[in-house]
Amino acid sequence: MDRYPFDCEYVARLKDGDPEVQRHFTGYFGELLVIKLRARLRSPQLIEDARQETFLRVLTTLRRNGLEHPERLGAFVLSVCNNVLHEMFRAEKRTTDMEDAPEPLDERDDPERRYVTEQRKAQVRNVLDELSAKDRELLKQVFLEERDKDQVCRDFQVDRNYLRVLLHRARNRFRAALGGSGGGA
Amino acid sequence: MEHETATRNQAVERYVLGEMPLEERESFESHFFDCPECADDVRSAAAFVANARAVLRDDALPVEKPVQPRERQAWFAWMRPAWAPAMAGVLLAIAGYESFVAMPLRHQLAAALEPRQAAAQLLRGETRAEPMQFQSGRPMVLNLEVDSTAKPSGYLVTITDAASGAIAYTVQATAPDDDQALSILIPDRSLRPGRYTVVVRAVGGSKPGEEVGRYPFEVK
Repeated sequence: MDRYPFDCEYVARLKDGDPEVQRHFTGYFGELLVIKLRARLRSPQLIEDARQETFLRVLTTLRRNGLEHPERLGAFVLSVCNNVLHEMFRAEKRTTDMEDAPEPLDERDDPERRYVTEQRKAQVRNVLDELSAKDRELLKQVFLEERDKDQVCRDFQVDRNYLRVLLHRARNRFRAALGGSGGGA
Repeated sequence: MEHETATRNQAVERYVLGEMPLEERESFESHFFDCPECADDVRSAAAFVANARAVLRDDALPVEKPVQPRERQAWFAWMRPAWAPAMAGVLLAIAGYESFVAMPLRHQLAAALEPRQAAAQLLRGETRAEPMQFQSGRPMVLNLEVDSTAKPSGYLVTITDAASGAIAYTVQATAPDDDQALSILIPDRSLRPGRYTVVVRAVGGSKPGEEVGRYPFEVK
């Protein structure tokens, strides 16, 4: 992901509908929004709705009022997203029983799939192949089987810090293998 | 949250692993939405996890390979009058390999593929009664009574050595029909004599990861 400074020029070009800047804006913040929203919403449709609504409101506000502190564009996007989320939860409370268990994600609709490419999978496979069988199984039980992490750590006789360090090192190797920042495809 | 704090606290990993309380999570989000470096770290961590999940899922799919027993060539077919002297030593080596290595392995493979009597027992959840016992030297079928109201799509079955706590085997299983036990086949000689615990956890359903049952058994 190319880096653009979020400054007056960037915001001005965004307001004017510059296609290159718009592409960067939606790409840069789109991924971050999905990462944030997946922790709050289970439905892929709701995640996409929230993402689109956030962009719509940000761009509408920019074109109408501008932005006093362009360097805080990220904080502005986040605050708009949080407002969208609060409104969604209020609407959910009025219409559904909040005690109901959320529907599990359908794999085919999982927004996480947008990050999965053959190139990235190949690089991740190389990283996983370099791990010991124990570490590979540990990651499998955490990320694929989604077992309770404390229980997994007890089973493998490691602590949570071991898991974090394992993820940190694997992520760094993955990024290095892709040869760029942000793990771009 | 400041950048140095985020780095020192392993914020990226803790965020992606879902370990942060709500307040800290919101604080870190406020930081990385404005910090390109942390944003890149979060993005790459999320991409790694997503692709690792895909790779591990692909690797977990069963691959059926037909086992073709190797055809035995008559050893004397290699004999040629012109090569007989030179081939004598080679033939002796081949015969030795066949007798002491390949043939026993072939017998074991044939034995494993042929229908055989197996010891099957119904294992109920952990109770004060002595664990079910199996004789070593025979395949074992563990019929596990599972009862999960969470309606999982499958189960993760872990067989653990009770003495050392080490995991001997992990088996992924699909959920059996209602009122059916979950059957796990253990080939003979796969487990040394000793006590073991089978732990069954739900995969998918409304409570993924939930421990459904613990079943002790002993191999004698």
